[in-house]
This record gives sequence, structure tokens and C-alpha cells, in this order.
Amino acid sequence: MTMSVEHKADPTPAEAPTRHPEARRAANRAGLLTTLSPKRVSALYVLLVIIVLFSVWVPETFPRMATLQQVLNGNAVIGMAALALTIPLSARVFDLSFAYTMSLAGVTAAHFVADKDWPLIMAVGAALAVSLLVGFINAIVVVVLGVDSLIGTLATGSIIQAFITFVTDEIPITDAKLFGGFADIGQHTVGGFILPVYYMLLIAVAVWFFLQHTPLGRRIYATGFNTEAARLTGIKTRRIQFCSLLVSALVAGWAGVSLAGILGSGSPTAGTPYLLPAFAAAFLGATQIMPGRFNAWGTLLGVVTLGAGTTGLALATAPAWASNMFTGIVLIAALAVTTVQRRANGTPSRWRRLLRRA
Amino acid sequence: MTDLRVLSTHSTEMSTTMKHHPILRRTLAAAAALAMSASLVGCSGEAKDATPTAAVDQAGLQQARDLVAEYTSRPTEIPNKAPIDKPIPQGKTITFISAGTSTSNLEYDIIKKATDKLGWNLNQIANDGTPEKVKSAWDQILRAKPDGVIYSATDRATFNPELVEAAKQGIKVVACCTTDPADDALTYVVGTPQQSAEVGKLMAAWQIDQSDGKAHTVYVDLSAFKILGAVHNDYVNTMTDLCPACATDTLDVPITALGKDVPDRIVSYLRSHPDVKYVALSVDGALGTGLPAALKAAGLSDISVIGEGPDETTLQYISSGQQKATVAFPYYEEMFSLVDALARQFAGVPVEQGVTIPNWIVNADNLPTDSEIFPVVADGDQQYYALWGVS
Repeated sequence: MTMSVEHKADPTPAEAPTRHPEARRAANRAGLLTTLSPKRVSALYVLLVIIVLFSVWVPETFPRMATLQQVLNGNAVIGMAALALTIPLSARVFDLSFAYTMSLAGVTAAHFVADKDWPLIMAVGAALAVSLLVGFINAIVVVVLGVDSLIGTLATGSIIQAFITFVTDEIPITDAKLFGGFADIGQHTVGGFILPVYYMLLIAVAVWFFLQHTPLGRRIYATGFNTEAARLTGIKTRRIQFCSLLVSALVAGWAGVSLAGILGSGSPTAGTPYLLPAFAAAFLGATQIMPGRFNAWGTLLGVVTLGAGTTGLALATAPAWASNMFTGIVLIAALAVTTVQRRANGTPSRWRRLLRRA
Repeated sequence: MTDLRVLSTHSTEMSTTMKHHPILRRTLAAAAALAMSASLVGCSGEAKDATPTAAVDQAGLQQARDLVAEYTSRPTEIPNKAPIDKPIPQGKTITFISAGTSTSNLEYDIIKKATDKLGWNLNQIANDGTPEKVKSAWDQILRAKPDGVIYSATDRATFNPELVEAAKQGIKVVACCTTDPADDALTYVVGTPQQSAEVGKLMAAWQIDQSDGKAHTVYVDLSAFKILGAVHNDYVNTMTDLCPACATDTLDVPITALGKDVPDRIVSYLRSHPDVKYVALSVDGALGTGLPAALKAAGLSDISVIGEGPDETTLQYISSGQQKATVAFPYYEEMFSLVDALARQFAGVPVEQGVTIPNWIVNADNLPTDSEIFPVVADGDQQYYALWGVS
């Protein structure tokens, strides 16, 4: 995807005080309209339509606090997985191994708790250490050896799955010990929301602050926009891509531990189904809030929008295929809206030129 | 005037915004399309509620209770009954086609136990279940020419030419858990839809019993798996026959939801159908993993879940009271029955077709272990060894 940055011509601080108050209000309104422009938050409008539609369609179940809880509780792991991808994607690196890292982390933590009687904190620490190791191997393969990240991380993912199968024989790790503190990691609720919802929000805040408010975050974006140009300006692009894969693996590892807590077992294939939904959410997120940039809040908006739609359809007892169709339509619609808007802001189409002449 | 000007300015800005943001119109159009799609989806909803109006059928309830009482006792009889009265040749080579899943690994281990006892060699060809890999496995079999082949849960249409060729070469092929009937090429099938159907009856009986004949239930189906169709039919028929005061509905889950949002779909269904308190899972492990946590997070603490074909996670759920019951899958008995069919063919005695599969409703009270898949018949292996005349 093209990662262009669009700047609006905002008034300089020197100009602003000289403006008439009415003009300032008008400028503020224009700024708000820009912020709420469908170009930036099309998913928000889709979300509003979803809320209105399902509130009318299934008024007895949808417009309830329980729905919000269900949407967030049911999509917290996808949210974390998508956020894990945000930083490497911003640095123009794919990490297809994250889903396998999730499985590995969950299995590792469950193994040490159930089979080795390790204290929970040590087992989780071991799972995160293993995840970091995966990230390190990914980084070696992609950055040091120069293998294309799409292929390289797919290969490491395959090796991780083989390793999991070798160790577990594809049998989930279960034990009564996993229903104590281990399950609480994923199942304990605070205010009606399971802990992974809070993990997701914390990770989102961290990613947002890191990408938007630190020099390193800007260097990551610069690396993603044009790696060669960034390198020529002195940015250590290889180091940035290396570290982005470490961060991705660490977050994926935590998502995997949370998922294992939700399941109450270490499932050898638990992470795999999250591969495509997480990428879908991350790419949808890149069209929101800051179009053209992978960003934390856009990603969460994408996750919530898709989650609200699928939950609404399920509450309305829609057919089994409806959920996938909805996801596909929303993805195409959101991406198409952004693309069309970008074209509209760039070279006018032949059709548009004809209209102007008319 | 100022106010009017402001309004006018605002209106102009809005108009300008609309002009400069044609995307707003497109978004609204897309939203309208979305709404129309959703409406269409709603119009074609498949869920079918059956509101009960009849009184509790006491005779039906008693019948259900009798079934539950009978099937919560551990079965003692294996599928096969007749001893093999001719010598079973040793040194046979058997190939097992594995799908590389935990189930396949378990099946391999059980078959290995049986073939070792008979003095046979067991090989395994692993594949990932894709048609290409399945065909490739059969090509390998035709080259290796083993004496017998065992496979599980694969549609014959994928490899029918190879199967027919194998039969011509004298290779004996037996299978489990398929809708394909036995014939000259596929000499024996166990776990047929007819043999599996009883599981649906038992799940229905359990729920009728637990609800005193007034259950509002949902059957969570994986209709993509044809073999489960018979289980579903028996479930619905039993509910209809024995429980006129019960209401039964079906929630179909696509394969693409497995491992992802199945618990969320079930929670949504239960929230939109607050009368439904009983859930039947057509496949325990695939549909039930993560369900207790999702029910708990949604505050649905009064839901009773029964399934069939538990995996290790399900056993833990039952042990810890998070799932009420399951109908254990007779892996051991069916795999031993497949080896038995090969033994009979090698020995030159008739194969016992259409055997009765033992079923067992397992709950927290009679669960033998929560750490591994167990045989339904406790001494099933010894009974088979006795039929085969080996010690």
C-alpha cells in the first residue's frame, strides 16, 4: 500500500491570534470536519451505521452494555495480534510468524505451569523469552540474511509449528493447574471486561505513544515510507527493522499467553486462526485516523468495527456465511473509500475533468 | 443577523465540505448498501425457533431418563463378537494414512498397539488432508504395496481411482468415520453415519432429563462435515419424539470460524435467545474450546453444555465443572475394529459388517481421567486379543 502523508495547511501560531474570533471558530469547525472526515474515519461511520442498524433490528439485545462487553471481550486477542503487527508493518516488514508465536507462547507457558510446576510468573516469563527468541531469529533471517520478510517469516512460522508439533504431538496441554492464576490471565473480569481487553488498550497506548510521540517512532515511519531515503538521511533502518520484529514477537507472545488463559489450555494451533483477521484489522486500521500509516487507534477502530458487525449479525441470528461476507464488504468499502479519496485529492479523473468542463 | 450569518456560513461550509468530500456521499452510499445487505441477511436467516406449547410428556421423559441411566454406565462390550477361528498370519505390513492431527496421532498409537500384538508392521504416511497430499499418499501406497491400508475421515471421491487400483493389487483397505459405504475396494467401514447417529439421541436424552422435559436447546452444528448430519437428525428426532414441551434450534457454524469466534457466536445466540439454557455441541473440541470462558465473561452462568468427541481440554472442562457432559468418542474400539477387519480378511473369515459401536455419556461423576483420551470399554483391548487368540 502507498504510505503517503497528507498535511493540511494549518495556520501558523503567529497568524492565529490576529484572526477574527468568528474566523477562528470557522477554522476550528473546519478542523473538526477534517478530523471527522470519512477519509480519516470511514470505519467510524460504518460503526455508527452498524450501531443504528442493529439497535433497530435487534433492539432487545444489541443496544446493551453486554454487547459492548462481548465485542471487546471477543476481540481483545485479535486486537493484540493486530497491534503486534503495527510496528513491523510501519517499518515495512511483514511478520507472518506472529500467529505461530502466539501458539508457541501459549503452549510454553501452559507446559511450564502444568508439567513443570513452575510459578506462574516464571512460566509467563519463559513464554515471553521464547517469543523474543523467535523475534530474534526472524530478525536474523530478514534483516541480517536479507530474506524477504514475507517469505522469511512464513518460513520461520512453519518451523515454529513443526517444533510445537514435535513437542506436543498436537495434543493440547491441559491440567487442573491451568484453571487457577493461569486462566485468570485471560478470564478474570474487571468491570465486565476480561483482562485481555485492558492489555489491548495498554498496548495500544504504548504503540500510539511510541509511534506518534517519539523520534524513534517517526524514524520507523520514515523507514516504512521509503527505506532507502531514510537510510540516506542517517536513519539506521536495519536496526529499526530488526527491533520491530522483536517487538512484534513480544506482543504476539503476550497475546498467545492471554489466549491460552482464555482457553484454559495450551493449544498447539490456537494462534493460527488469528493470522488473517489480525492482518485485516491492521490494514483496515491503516486507512483510519491517520490514513496511509499503520497506527494503534486506527487498528483498534478496525477491530471494534468488524467485531461490532459480526456480533450484531450473530445476535440477529444471521446465517453462518453472513459474518465473513460482512468482513469482506467492510474491508473493501473502507479501503475503496480511502483510495477513491486519495485519487480525488490527486490527479482528477477523466470523468471528473469532464464534469468540471460541463 | 449574526446568527443568520453564522448559520449561513456553517451551511456554506457544510456544502463545501460535501463538495470537497464526495467520499462522504460514497460512505453513506456504502453504508446504505451495507444496511441493505444486512437486511437481506436477516431475511434469509436460517435459525428456526420452535416454541413449545405442549405439556411435558412423562413417558418420553422416562424414556430419556432410562437412556441416560443406561448410557452413563460404562459399556462393557466391544463392537466385534465372533472369535477368529483360523490362524491370523503374522508379518503383514499395514499403512495408516495420517492427517497429522492430534486425533490421527492417537489413532496411530491405538492401531500400533493392536498391530504389534498381531506381529504386523505398521507404517504411517502423514499428509495435511489436502486433496493433493491425499492423492500423493495413495500413489505412495500403490508403489509400496502394503498388505492393508487404514484411513480415517477422508472422502473417497478424492482418491477413488487409486483405491480401485489398490483393490486390484490385493491390498485390503478399511476406513473409519466416513460416509462412504463398504464395497469390494473399501472392504470395511466403521463409524458410519448410521453407527454414529445414536450420539445425537444420547445428547438429546441428556438434555431432556436435565430439564425435566422442558428444555430449550440449541444444537451447534458443523454442517460442512456430512457425517455429522446423522447425529443432528437423531438429536432433532429424539427431541421431537420424546419431548413435545422442548424447543430446539440449530446454530450452524462455518469451518472458517473454528478456533476463532465459535464461542462468540454461541454467546451471541444465547443472548438473543435468553430462553435457551441447553447447548449441544456436535464436535466437542472444535466447538467447545474457549466456550466456558466466553459464557463466564458474558455472565451466562446457567448454561448447560453437552458435546461429543471430547479432546483433552474438554475433559478438563468436565472435570472442573465448566461443561456438564460429553459423549466419549470410541477411538480405541473403532481402531481395534479396523484391525480386526483386516485380521479376518487375512485369516480368510467373513468380516463382521454393521457392528454396534459402544457409546458412553461421561460427566464429572464417571470421568475416568481428565488427562488423556480413554477407551470407552475399559478392557476392550483384552477382549480383542481374546477374539484374535493372542495373549
